[in-house]
Amino acid sequence: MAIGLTRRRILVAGMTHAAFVSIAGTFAIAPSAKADEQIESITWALPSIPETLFIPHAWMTYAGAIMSLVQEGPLAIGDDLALQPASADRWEEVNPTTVKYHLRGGVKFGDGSPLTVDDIVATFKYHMSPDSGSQLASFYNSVATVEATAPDEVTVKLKAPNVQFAFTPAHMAGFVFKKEQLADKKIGTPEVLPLGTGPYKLVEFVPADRVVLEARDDYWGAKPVVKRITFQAIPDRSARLLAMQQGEIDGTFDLAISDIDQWKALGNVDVVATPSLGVYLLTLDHSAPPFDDIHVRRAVAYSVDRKGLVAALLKGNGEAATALNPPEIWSGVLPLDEVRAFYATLMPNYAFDLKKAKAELAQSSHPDGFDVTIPASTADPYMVNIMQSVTENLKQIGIRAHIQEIDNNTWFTNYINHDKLGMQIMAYYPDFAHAANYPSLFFSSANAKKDGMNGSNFNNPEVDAKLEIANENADPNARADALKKVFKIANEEVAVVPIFWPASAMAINNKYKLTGYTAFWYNIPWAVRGFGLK
Amino acid sequence: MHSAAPSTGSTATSGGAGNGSSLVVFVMRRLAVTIPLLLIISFGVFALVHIAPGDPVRSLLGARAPDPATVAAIRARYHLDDPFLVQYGKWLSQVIRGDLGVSIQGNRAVTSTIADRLGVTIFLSLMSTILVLGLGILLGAVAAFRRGTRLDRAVVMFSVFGISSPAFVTGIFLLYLFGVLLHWFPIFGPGKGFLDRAWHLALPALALATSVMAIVVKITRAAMIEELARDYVTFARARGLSSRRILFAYVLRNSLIPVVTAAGLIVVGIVAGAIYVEVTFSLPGLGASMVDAIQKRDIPTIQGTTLLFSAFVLLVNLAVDVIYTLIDPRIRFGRVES
Repeated sequence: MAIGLTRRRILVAGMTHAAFVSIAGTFAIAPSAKADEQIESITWALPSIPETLFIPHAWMTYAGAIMSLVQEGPLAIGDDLALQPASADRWEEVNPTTVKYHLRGGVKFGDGSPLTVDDIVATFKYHMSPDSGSQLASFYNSVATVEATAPDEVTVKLKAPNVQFAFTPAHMAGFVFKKEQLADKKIGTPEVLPLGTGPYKLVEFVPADRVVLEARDDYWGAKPVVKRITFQAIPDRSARLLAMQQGEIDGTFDLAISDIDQWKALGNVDVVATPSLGVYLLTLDHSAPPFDDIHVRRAVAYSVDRKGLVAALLKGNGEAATALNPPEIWSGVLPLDEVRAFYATLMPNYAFDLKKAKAELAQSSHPDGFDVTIPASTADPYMVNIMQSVTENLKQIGIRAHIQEIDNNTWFTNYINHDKLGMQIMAYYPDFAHAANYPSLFFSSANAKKDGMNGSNFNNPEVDAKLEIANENADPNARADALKKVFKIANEEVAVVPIFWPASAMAINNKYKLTGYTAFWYNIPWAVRGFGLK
Repeated sequence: MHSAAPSTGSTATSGGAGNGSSLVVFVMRRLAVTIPLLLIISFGVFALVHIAPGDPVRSLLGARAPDPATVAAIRARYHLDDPFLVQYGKWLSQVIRGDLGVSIQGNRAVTSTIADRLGVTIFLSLMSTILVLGLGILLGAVAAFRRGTRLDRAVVMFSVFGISSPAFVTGIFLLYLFGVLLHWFPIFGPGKGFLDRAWHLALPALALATSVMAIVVKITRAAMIEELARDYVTFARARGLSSRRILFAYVLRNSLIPVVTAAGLIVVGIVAGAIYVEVTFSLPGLGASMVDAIQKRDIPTIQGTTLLFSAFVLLVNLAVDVIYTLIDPRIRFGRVES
């Protein structure tokens, strides 16, 4: 009886299975590749799809991963993280406050209309106007005027020299819109899909669910290999993994590092990791007790087991941070080996040592310790876990530290309002690779106030003066020297306590390859950067 | 046994022809109460979002140091600097004109967002409700009829197992089993058209149903066991009526009152559970959108969706009260006091 039942069940199951597979076959978007390297279509999963595709109101990495295939700026970020021409075929720094962009001929928007200098001027001005509420407005803070100075030339004048502005036309802040579309209040919704001059055009957008792109034949650059890209939101981490295992998706960005081993175990998948150029750090409010005491700050710095955290949380996919800047972000200023050699000279090096931590605390004005509560965002994959390790270590030296787990919005609002800062944990990822970016944000006294990122309220006139050189001097050597001095002082003073530099990882079906995957996958047209059949 | 049934029964007999109109009066009266209730709920939610720490502008601007002029412009656009009551007043006057405002995150009319997403949530909830009530009542009835047997114990065990495991865990398990191992169902997406959607939503609906079905199974089973022990069942059996007729024509109908009472709660529970399931199965439904809105303090979207959900809960409760009369004609409304 039992055997008969089992047989019958197997038969029924088999038949139902066959029926469903045949139905499924008609619905599934099967990626098929042709001999001439053209790939008909791929499906790419993202943890979320935004509600709007209008970058000034949807400035997030997942919107960038989609729109960087549709839109482009006058410049682009290359595989080496340096600037390269895009819709502008050349650019010229006339003097430290004037840059001219020369428009490439024959660049067209997805609807076939030509790109003009007016579109670029209108886009830049849109971000600069406070009324537009652009999330990217701060990238244009240093700009005085933007003008079309010839039919194929746009001139940007800066209020003061600022080498960081050079990157603005190359990432999401520089994606050029068609002037007429910018006036449309519905831009970014499924009704008014943004046009761009990138290699793909938008053909379908279901907010929060799905986006479909189609390759353009009239793109000025190399012809895209993949004809059709479908982005699908799969918020649940396990569901994304299952979809990859099932072959329903061809790849995804932004893997949780803690899941990497499971992804690697899938068999049909290549996992690619690269330095994210992001950093996790602790800020300690220098303006108020107890962290106004250098010995307390040093005690905290000695209590962070960076290597242990990299091994436990990142499974080795990252690096213990010896300074705020990941080494790769010095690109264009200092070669990698010189950066590492310089970091090795920073003294003291605050390697994990609870004895030294105890000794520092004993010398401080709080030898018996104190109570401190550190807010941590529950949305971040590592913050709470990092703080669990740090608070345990701090308790051993007598600092009674507690974690306050809160939602991301509350955590960040509290941080950016500079409201009772004390000790904070922060994670930061860059928009471009410039060595002066992080130190300007976290060490400059101008940012030691509400709306500023300097959560340590670190204030040092020498650092401010050197940061000015690092931001304004056109000579890379002068900038490198200035920045070295900044990092030396910041290290001695414990301006922040760096924790680790995590890697960023993606998964791709192993029949494909993507050679141009970098930390800035959300700012570059990744599908035309070395994507193809293996 | 001082239950309400005999007294309503006696008033009903004296009610006579006025029954139809009393139902209308009852429904009208309940609908009239709904409006002030919705006002109180919307005010409460508005106040809670206000009291909660956090700031919609911060999530709009991302984890970046913002430009102060931009922050001021956004605050002005969404009236965030107005006093609390003025903000609520502005929102309310909009709603009265049929406009739920524009979402802070997506810069899109909240009504459009709701219209886009409502379909998936309704389909999922309906499918799940049908599964819960249909399968739950059936299993409960079978368990009661075969009380004490292995079948009974298996049904009860299955339902307890279902309720003990959260919908998102059951969801991942179902995805692995039916999606990856058996390839029967898709892993993500809501599907297009009725059949494709039903196919896409089958696993989510089952995951959702499994987590609440135990309530229906247990209530049905208990009520049926009680009914089966009554004298009229013994008489029916003695008269040689078939088991099927006894079960469906008499016992099941009489056992449905407690099930219907619980059905209101179950439907509301399903809609609430849909929030998790929508995330697990990558479904662009209203629940997922509400969670996202709350995380980002998108006040217009939170207000719009909670208004809709509250109206839904109130209407489901009203519907349950109306269904009572259809199942048990002895129950009448608004007559007890008379």
